[in-house]
Order: sequence, then structure tokens, then C-alpha cells
Amino acid sequence: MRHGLDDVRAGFDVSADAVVVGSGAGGAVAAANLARAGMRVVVLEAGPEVRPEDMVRDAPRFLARHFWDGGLRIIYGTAPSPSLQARCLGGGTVVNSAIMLPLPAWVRAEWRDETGVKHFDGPELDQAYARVFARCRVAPTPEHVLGRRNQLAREAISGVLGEPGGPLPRAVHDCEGSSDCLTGCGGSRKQSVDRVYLPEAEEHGAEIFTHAEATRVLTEGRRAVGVEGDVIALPGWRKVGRFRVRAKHVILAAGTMQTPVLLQRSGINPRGLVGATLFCHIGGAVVGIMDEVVDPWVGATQGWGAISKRVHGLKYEGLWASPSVLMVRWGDVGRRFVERLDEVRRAAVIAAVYRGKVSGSVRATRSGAPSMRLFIPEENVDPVMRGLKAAADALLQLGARYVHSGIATVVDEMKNERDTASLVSGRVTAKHLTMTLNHTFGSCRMTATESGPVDADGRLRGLEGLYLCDASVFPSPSAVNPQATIMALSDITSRKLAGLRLDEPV
Amino acid sequence: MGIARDGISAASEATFPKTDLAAPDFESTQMVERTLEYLDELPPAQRRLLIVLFVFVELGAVFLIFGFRRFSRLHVRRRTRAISEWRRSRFLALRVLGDSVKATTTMMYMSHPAVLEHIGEYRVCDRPLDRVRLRVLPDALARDASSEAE
Repeated sequence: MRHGLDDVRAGFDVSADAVVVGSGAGGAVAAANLARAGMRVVVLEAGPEVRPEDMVRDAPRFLARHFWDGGLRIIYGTAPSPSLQARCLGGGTVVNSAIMLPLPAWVRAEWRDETGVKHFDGPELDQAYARVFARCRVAPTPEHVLGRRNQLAREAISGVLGEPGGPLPRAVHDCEGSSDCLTGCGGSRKQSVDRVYLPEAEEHGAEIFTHAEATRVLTEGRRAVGVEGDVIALPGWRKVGRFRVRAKHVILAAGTMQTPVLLQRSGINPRGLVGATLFCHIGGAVVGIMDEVVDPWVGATQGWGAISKRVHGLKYEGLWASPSVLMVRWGDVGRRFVERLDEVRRAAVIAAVYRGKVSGSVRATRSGAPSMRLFIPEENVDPVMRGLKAAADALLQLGARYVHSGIATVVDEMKNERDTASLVSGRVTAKHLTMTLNHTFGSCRMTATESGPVDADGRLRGLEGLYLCDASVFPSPSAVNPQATIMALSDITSRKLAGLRLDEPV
Repeated sequence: MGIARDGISAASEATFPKTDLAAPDFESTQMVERTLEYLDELPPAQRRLLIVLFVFVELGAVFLIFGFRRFSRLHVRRRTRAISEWRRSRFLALRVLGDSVKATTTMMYMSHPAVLEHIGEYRVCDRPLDRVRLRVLPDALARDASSEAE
């Protein structure tokens, strides 16, 4: 059963066996498993439900209503960068490109060796991936919805550079190729968790409350016994009521930034490890203005990708998003920008995402908002820029009139290899990287030893009844899009808690 | 709010001025009104942040730009050049300032239906519930698929 703003405006006070904070990739899977096991489950979502009429091409309005900080969240540190984090029923799965890639084998082995958590590289994770993939109908992006933009990414990265790529596996069934992923799939083709896992949880009795922002975990002695928080009304994000949920089990799945802040605000921070770490994928993108008309708004948002064999930890993707988001860093301003508008139809965008070795932290500010810092050592810049230069050269070889990177110290309109050499000239430092840090992880690392705040069963150390089911438990960057791994790890943690079989077949 | 409004108006005109290029401009896309509506949609902290940004641009120009006048009193070409220079500055704070102005105004401009029409955007499938109405060309994907097959 779903309770919208009209139901909760005056506040509420309920009890359950388990309360799940956050309804995204991790929270929805946990809620479905716990409810299926017979527990009375309450799911709390800080944002609203995204209805079909909310999925509009007016991206600023959509972002303002369905993202944390209205889509204006910034991660500070070396290079202040925006970070889009969904705040809506279904979380990031409603607004991302639904890419579902399992962890590469080398990352799994590294996670196991570094943390001692055996299931990172064991059959339990394989089985969890298989269940999640089947449930979300994951399949490679079909050829007929790639569109010219993804085809060009393939021609550039695989054709010219020889990198081994392929159509990206996505949780989309019968994709229409509308490029609408960022503002929600109006055709209801994306298998986001609000369409897959949350209805299953509701079928088994779970109650879902939207507009309910948890602000504190309730504890008695050394046990978590529930959460409390504010009812938030749109527009304007006003606090209009209070709520409290008492439960034997508290599952935090509020994301890499909100989960540690909720713990810190509750005075729960074993050995100071909560929020002491933060990792992000870094990178950038190049835009090739081709001779041919591309019509980049045609085709799957991110339909084709390649994991580089030349640059370890680098991944290429074809990309598109609403022009009002994608073009905020394109070109100059004034007449020089306006006269380039005719060229948007000819744009092909290739993003380079790098795993990198970065470090950071998440801290609760006095107002309770998260403050993130990320530090990027300079040695991370060279692999990113080599990746971007290769992509830029490939686009030029395919006939691009010029290539643009949005990086201040680089030639603005790169027309030949002499120009693209400015990408690797050494004038670009970590401070110059222009990127959006959407993949964030590791603020409450899962480890078998005491070095992280979360144990191998997903329990927060030092407190009974408190579990974490989101990307905050990743021990380091995943090197690929995190959604599949968030869901699979949440599946394992919640099955252990619910007493469900870890080897349950698909 | 009046100073912020002046700053929004001056920055919008500087980034999307009237031109002879047949493209929509800051006035025809109602950028000031739409930006103010957008501010009302934002959470309070971000709303304050953007208001401070445009107040700073409007008043800070006295110190940031040679000419010692409020931003909105400068000639539009001087304003455009200033934002462009901030974005290319070697000082991170100025780059952030210039990028923030450019990002906010670009978001508002590029989300107007007339601009989407101007750049040639269309849909491959109808979205009857979307207020932003665009042409629908359902055969566009088939065109790309067949050109690939050839």
C-alpha cells in the first residue's frame, strides 16, 4: 500500500517488523525480500512518487522535484563537481540509464582480498546477480534502438580504437529508444524498482510512505528500534509534519551520502568510520560535431559501451541527456553559443568513466545536510585525459568537424591531432576536470575485519538490528555502473536477515 | 529579490542575447520569469544559493569588472565577455562563478520548447502527458537501423 503526501501530511506513527529507509535499488530489493519472508515492512521515501505526467522534457523542473538539493548537489574538494542523486520513489533506478553490469572479475577479487568478505567473489553474488537480472529483465540494448549516436560511439571506440565493446545490458524491456531515461521512462519500459520490486513488496503487505525524510535512527541501549523524521511537502520542500516508525530491524538504504549522515545525526559512528571514506568514478566527455546529421535525441540514452583494454579501469559509453542538462558546459556564452545551436543535431557524445584512486568523506553539516569532499590525486588525470584524447581522435577520424571537451585549458574546438594533444599536454590538472560525479560509493565500507563500520552480513558494528543496503557498503569503486551490485548485495544482506535461501534459483 | 531579479535578467541577456540568427532569445523564452518559477521549486538552501549567486553577480561586478558599475548597467557585450572570461580564469572561484551563471541560464534556455524546436529536437514516440510538446517522428529509429544495414 502506498501513502502519498495527502495521507501523511499530518504526520504518522506506526510500528513494523522492519523499516527500510530509502526506496531505491537497495531498499526496494530488501523490502521485497523481507516482506516475502512474512515480515511487516514499512518503506520510507524522502521524495515523491514519479507519475507519468511528471516525466517531462522540462528537465530543470524535473530535477528540482525529484533530486536531492533540486539537482544542484555539489561534491567539493579538488574540483567542485555536481552530483545528481535521485530523491523519488524508486530512487536512481527511475532516472538512470538502467545499465546493469556485474562487477568485473578483477574488482571482485580485489574486494575479497582487501576486505576478507568472501561473498564478494563467491557463488552467492553470482546467484544474486542472476536473480536480479532475471527479475529486471536485463538484456543487451537491441540494435534497432541504438540510434546513430550509439552507432557512432561503437564506430569510434571499437571500430577506430579497437576497444572491445558491445550493446550495454540494461533493465529495459522493449525499449522505445526515446532518450528519456534521465527524466523517467514515460513509456514504462524501464524496469525500475518502483515497477518491479516495490509492487512485489506491497503484494506481501509492505506499506510505502513517500515524502518521509528520516532524520534520526532511534536506539535503546545497543539496539536500533526505529526511525523518526519529517514529512516534506512539494513544491519548496517545506516540513509539514513529523513521523516515527518503531521496528525490530532498521535497514538503511538511503544512498552513499544520506546513509552516513543519518547515522552521524543519530550519534551512531563506530570508531569514527561512518562517512570517513568516499569514492567516486571520475572522468569526462567529448562531443564530436559530425558532418552528418546524428539527431542525438534518437536512440537508447546509453546503449553502447566498452571497457578499455588500453587504460585499466576506464570505461567508454555513448551518452545523451536532455540538452538543458547536457549543454550547461558546452561551448562559450552569448552569440558564440547561440550560433552553434544548429550543430546540436550533429553531436555525438562519448563519455569516459574512470575508476581511479580517489579519497573523500561525507559529514553531516549543522543543518543535517551532507557535505562531501573528494580529493583526486594528480596521477588520476593522465588515464582520463588519454581516454578522452583517444575518443576525440577517433571522432575526428570518423569525420567530426571538431571535438569539444568543456575543459578550460584545452583547445576549445579541436580539429586535428595537434589540437587534441592539448588534452594530454600536462596543462590539465585534477582541478580542471569537468565531470558529474553520479557514481558514489563507500562511505560505510563492508569489511570482515574491524577496518570498516559494516560487517560481512551488512550489520553496522556495535549496534544490534541495524543493516545497510546501498552503495555506501562498497569497499572501493566498482569500475562499472553500480546499480546491479547494489541490488545484488542488498539481496544477499536482506536474505540473510529474512532467513531466505541464498541459493534460491531464478 | 529585486537585485537578484536584475542579476538574473542581466545574466540571461548576456548569455542568450537578441541576435540576427533566428534563434529564440532570453526575452522570447521568458527566462527571467521561468528562472523565478524554477527558484520556487527548489529546496530552500539551493534557492538561497542561487539568489545569492545572482545578487553577487549583480553587485560584485563593481569589483570584478573594470567599469565600476552594477552588472545590469554594463553593455550586454561587456557582460557576455565577463562571463566568458570568468569561465576561463585561472582562479577556481571565478571559474565556478562563471560556470554557475552559464549552467543556470543554459538550463532555463535549453528547456524552452521553442529552443528545442530550433535545434531540431523531436521525439520517436508520443508522450501525451508531457507539457513540452515536440514533433513525433516514429520512423527515425528505423532510418538509423536501415542505414546501418546498408
